Amino acid sequence: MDRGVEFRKLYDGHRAAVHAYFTGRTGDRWLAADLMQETFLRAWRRFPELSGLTDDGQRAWIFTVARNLSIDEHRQARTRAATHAALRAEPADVAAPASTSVIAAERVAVVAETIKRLPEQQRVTLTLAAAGGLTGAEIATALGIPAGTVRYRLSLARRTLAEALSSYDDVEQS
Amino acid sequence: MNLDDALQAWATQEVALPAPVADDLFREIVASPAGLDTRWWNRFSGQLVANVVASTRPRVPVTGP
Repeated sequence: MDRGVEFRKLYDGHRAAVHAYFTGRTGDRWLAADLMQETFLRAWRRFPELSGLTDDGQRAWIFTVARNLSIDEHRQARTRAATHAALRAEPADVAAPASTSVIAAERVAVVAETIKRLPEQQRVTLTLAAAGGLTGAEIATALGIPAGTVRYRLSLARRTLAEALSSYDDVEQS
Repeated sequence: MNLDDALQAWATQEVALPAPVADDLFREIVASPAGLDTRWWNRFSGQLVANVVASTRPRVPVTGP
């Protein structure tokens, strides 16, 4: 099979998760796209070696590169700036009125704002699950942590989100 | 809309990369010449320029007013 076609399969199989990882780290999906591209550029250069690995092995390899990129000093500075900019964004107006679609949009906004304020480890784990489409075991491989830790972080993050939505509902009903 | 629905909507609206963007990124990756690390080269040439500029700066002793 053509090298480009084979690499496209690898790219399509992992790009959403890698992009979700960097979005979780940076809070900025465009900066995340830049970092994702850098990750796959390295994978492209090492593709002969990478193509012989299992799916899990490829995931571990790609996320090792991604994690190393994310701790690069220059990148980290940009990452912090992007995260702070995202955190300074105006909070959603959760007290606006009331059609079904407006309420749905507001609930999404509440979730988005709450995710920005989660501790980074929880935010990254949740983003990998919700936006990257990874299972708990796959997240554990990607992050190099035990599956139990993944479950714990997801549980904490979901509890925080549920509480935020519950508070929103209380305000909405009063 | 429950938590999972809200999370799914958030992922779609705030995280997912549009397919045309992902396609463009892919094309740039596979078009890159193998073996040339552009980031290394950019860093190296930037440092070289900085060193050349610094080395040609006249060395005049600083004197206070």
